[in-house]
Amino acid sequence: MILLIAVGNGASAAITASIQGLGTNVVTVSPVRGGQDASARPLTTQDAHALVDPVGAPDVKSSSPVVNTSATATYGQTSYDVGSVAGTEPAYFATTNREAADGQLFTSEDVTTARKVVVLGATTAQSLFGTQEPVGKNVLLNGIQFTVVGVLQEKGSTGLQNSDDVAIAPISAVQNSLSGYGSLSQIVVQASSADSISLAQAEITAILDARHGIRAGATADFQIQNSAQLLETRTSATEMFTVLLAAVAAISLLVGGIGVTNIMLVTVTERIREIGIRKAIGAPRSAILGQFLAEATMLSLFGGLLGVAIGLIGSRFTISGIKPVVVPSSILLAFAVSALIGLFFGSFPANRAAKLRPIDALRHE
Amino acid sequence: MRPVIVVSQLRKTYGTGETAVHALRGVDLTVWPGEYVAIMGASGSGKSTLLNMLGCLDVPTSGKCLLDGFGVGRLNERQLALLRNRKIGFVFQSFNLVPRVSALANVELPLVYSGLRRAARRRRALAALDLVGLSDRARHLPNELSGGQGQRVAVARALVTGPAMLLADEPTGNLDRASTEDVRP
Ligand SMILES: Nc1ncnc2c1ncn2[C@@H]1O[C@H](COP(=O)(O)OP(=O)(O)O)[C@@H](O)[C@H]1O
Ligand SMILES: [Mg+2]
Repeated sequence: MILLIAVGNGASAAITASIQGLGTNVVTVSPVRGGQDASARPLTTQDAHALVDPVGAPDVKSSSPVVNTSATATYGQTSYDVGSVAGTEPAYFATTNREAADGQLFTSEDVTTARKVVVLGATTAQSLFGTQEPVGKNVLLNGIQFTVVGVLQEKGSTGLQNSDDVAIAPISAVQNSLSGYGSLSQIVVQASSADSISLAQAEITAILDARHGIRAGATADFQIQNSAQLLETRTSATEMFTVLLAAVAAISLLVGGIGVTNIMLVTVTERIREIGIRKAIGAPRSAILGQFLAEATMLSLFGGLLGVAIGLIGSRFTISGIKPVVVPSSILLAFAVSALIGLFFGSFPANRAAKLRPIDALRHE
Repeated sequence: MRPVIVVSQLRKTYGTGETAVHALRGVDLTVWPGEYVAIMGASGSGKSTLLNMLGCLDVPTSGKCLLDGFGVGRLNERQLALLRNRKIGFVFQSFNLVPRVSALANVELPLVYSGLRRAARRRRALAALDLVGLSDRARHLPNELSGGQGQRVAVARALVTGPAMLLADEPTGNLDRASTEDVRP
């Protein structure tokens, strides 16, 4: 149970951290797919560039078009499916707080000349090159040769996807050779400050509405989300995840409780003669009751201890990309709950045992 | 002097209707302190039934039973437990030792329920075991004892509280002749 709660917490902590890594002044524009009318226009690089407009959008600091695709990277004999291949422009790195740990990031010139250069995430670089120096080497992305110019600083797992398992290349090169010239996956916009984010959002909406010919009141073919909203949706997603896990834990708790009751019923039945003997030599009901309650509590406390131990051991491993975070209060809760379960489910058979008349208990086979 | 046991018009009927068994039909009995009374009768004549009433293990259908001056019918659960613990020592035909604990712990058990402290308990239990000649078997479990030794542990357990009366229901009924000699006072 501890483990389940820990995994849930780990997931939400990771996601929160990753979104906070985006910065609070980031707005993402993404296309609304499958719009009702065919007039829905794709997001284009021109759209992205139009957003950088000191007059029409004074609160937009930078805007980077992004295409996401997937590719298999090959270096020598090593092949590796990169989690996410992104084509974008240099401003993207600043916007998403990413820096080169080794080598350098690609430049605007690389974008204009569509040079086939790529910046790898730490995980990707590690998987392809191991201990070798990646910078300067050539890798094949879906058979197309790219030159590694840099490796990004590690950022850690976001829970749902590893942000170090990426390959980022100039958008022109990616569109040329990998993704084709469809709609952008998103436009990542940086507002000039966290306070001007809603102004920037309004400006973006106005510009894109005009460019896409969307009349006032009509449904747009794009959607705008800022990082706070992103955080909210993600948080509610992980919250549900945690609640789900907690529900599983609760059910297993109930099953465990029934188990304790059962075991207690069995031990009591097995020992009815012993109870008869004890009563015959003058054990008051309270003493019998106390004995069996103590045993039930011990039993479930032992179970609780075991569960906590397993949970603590299990939480030291990363589970499907999520590093569990153990909440101390959940340990306490686990102990309290298992003790309560022992008391609650032990009291029924114990009371039944203590109420027996000695002669009936003694005659019991 | 006050009698330890006074029984008048004690009846016990098992079951109801056609299958009813009248095990006791109006028993009168008075036992004085220091008396040594043997109840004899054929198998099924109601000896165990009577002893169970006297040991407060079962309740009579009707009739009165005074133990050391206390009217058993008017006592509640807690008082009955106290009476069993302080006034009565019961030796069963089938020993009825607690199987999981040592002979010593078995003898100590009634003292646990009378709230004696550990050291005093240990001392009195050892003395009682010594009385029945089993001080060298104190640490043994019941299933490591012979029948005669087991029953002597049961006698020690009945005597350890210094009860007003000792009730023994065919204490040698389950034993061979040699073991019977062991138990005989
Ligand atoms: N629990 C019981 N239910 C029904 N009948 C019983 C029960 N216990 C004893 N009896 C009957 O009561 C009678 C007396 O039994 P008991 O007191 O054990 O005799 P004894 O000990 O003298 O051999 C017997 O006929 C027996 O069948
Ligand atoms: Mg009998």
